[in-house]
Amino acid sequence: MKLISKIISYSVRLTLLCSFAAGSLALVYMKTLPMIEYQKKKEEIEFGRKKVLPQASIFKEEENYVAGYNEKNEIVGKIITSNIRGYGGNIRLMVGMDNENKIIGVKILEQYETPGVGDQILDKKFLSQFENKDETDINFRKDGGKIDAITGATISSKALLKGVQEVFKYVKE
Amino acid sequence: MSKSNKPGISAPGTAAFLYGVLKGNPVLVLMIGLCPVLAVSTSIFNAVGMSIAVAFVLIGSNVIISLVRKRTPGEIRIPVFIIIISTFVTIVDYVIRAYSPELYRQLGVFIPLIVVNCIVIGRGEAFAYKNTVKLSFLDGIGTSIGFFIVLFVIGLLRQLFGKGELLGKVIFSKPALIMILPPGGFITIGVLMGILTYYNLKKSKV
Amino acid sequence: MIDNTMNPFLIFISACLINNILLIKFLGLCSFFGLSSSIKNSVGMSLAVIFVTIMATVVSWIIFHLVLVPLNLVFLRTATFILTIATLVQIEEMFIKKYLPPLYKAMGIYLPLITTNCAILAVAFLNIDYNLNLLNSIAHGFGVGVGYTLAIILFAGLRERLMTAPIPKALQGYPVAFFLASLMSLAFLGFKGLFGL
Repeated sequence: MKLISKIISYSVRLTLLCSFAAGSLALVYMKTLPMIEYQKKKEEIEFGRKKVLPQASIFKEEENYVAGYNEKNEIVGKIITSNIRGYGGNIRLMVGMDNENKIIGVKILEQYETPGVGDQILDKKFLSQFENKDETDINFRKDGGKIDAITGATISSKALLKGVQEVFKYVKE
Repeated sequence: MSKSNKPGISAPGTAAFLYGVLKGNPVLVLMIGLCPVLAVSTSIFNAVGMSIAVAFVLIGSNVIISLVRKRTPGEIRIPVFIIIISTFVTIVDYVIRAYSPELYRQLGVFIPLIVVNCIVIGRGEAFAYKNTVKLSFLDGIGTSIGFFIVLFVIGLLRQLFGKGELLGKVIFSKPALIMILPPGGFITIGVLMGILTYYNLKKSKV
Repeated sequence: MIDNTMNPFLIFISACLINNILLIKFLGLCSFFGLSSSIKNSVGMSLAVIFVTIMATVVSWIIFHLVLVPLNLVFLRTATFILTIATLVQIEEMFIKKYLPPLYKAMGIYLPLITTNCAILAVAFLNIDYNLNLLNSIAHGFGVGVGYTLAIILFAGLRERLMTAPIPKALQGYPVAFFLASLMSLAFLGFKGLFGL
């Protein structure tokens, strides 16, 4: 009947068009996916940098560190990424310092500490201790500094502390 | 959505091209495609980016619609248009996401919204469905340019008076912030339309 | 702007007043300027908008979260949403025409126009971008619908008054309507800060 053949004809045409459209979209999606992932990573890094050195709005990658400039193009500090052996694996941390080598912020990029125990080093409360501290403050209280370790996670705390101390050592060079 | 001053169905090449720029200017004459204009014209960067995206979709869909028009029965033409247009829009969406995240952040939800932009559907239905590929292509370019000019002028005005800077050079140190806020958009278009109407009135009086 | 931490009432207020879809977010403008010359038309359109927005919100949310995401077809969302809305509007039109004639008389003719209304599609997308759960999405959609209604009916009322005012010829019609819209927009900007939003 005429109506049925119309319906079939229309359905076939639409299905053909849809398949073609969906196919080309799938192609475009696959081709742009790597670039999109790259942009996402870039944004995360940018975000992390802003957190450890909020005074800076422009970041320039130097040989072994990242320099931070404000809007007037004055250097306000630097960001150093360092690695230290933790309890469960490598800890990669990012430390932001101002021009007088005072710590502005610390951010952990990668760690493999024990969940619920060692990974408490990720806690804001622990990391914020490092803010606004000079080199002499970066020691546990029992050693004359101003940092409290996490009870029950001494090894991880020590590792992070050492990581920050290493940054100071590096900066002196 | 009022549509007036439509050209004959078999308009020659240059006429098809110029129509989109002048007599049939999408925003100022036909009053279609308004939504993105107001939202996106807060800076020249946005205006240019949006124009390019719309141009891509408009030209692409005009061409494809014209290509398949002989095989597309009238009753299913709207779904067909929608499928074709949304394909181009999705392509533009992901390309912008990959290569200009800044533009993506600025344009936001207005990128996928190009699919319901009256300009794209309007030209597809009124022109591409009834004309050859070559004419549809030219119509796409002409309309895109007409759109771009309007968007660029508004973007220029709003950025100049609302932010006070152009190409990094500060021109007004105390800009009128309202220009880049919603009310400013309405005012700018109102003024431009008024000027155009005045000009048209004068012309018809002579 | 809007996220899941806000309760549905706050989302409703935000969508309706503070981020009014027409006057602040610039969405749905074609119909706004085209129909607002008469209050009667505006009322009809608003009803259609509220009705379609809520349904479209629910359906598109379900399709996105239960079909596209699990099947890894997120890139098809633009096409899917617009086709869903178009289909929904078609079905609704046929249904209302047949079973609810008085309602059809009130707002039926505006239904096809809504398919290209950027506001509806935008709500579907924003629900995804803000990652709202179903209840919040509905609150969002409802808020947008009511905000649209508020703006367009106020605007229509003002425009009807304007028709008897002495306006220079060059500004008659749309230019003055835009100036009016800018003042309304300014007024709605004043809602910022309401309920701490």
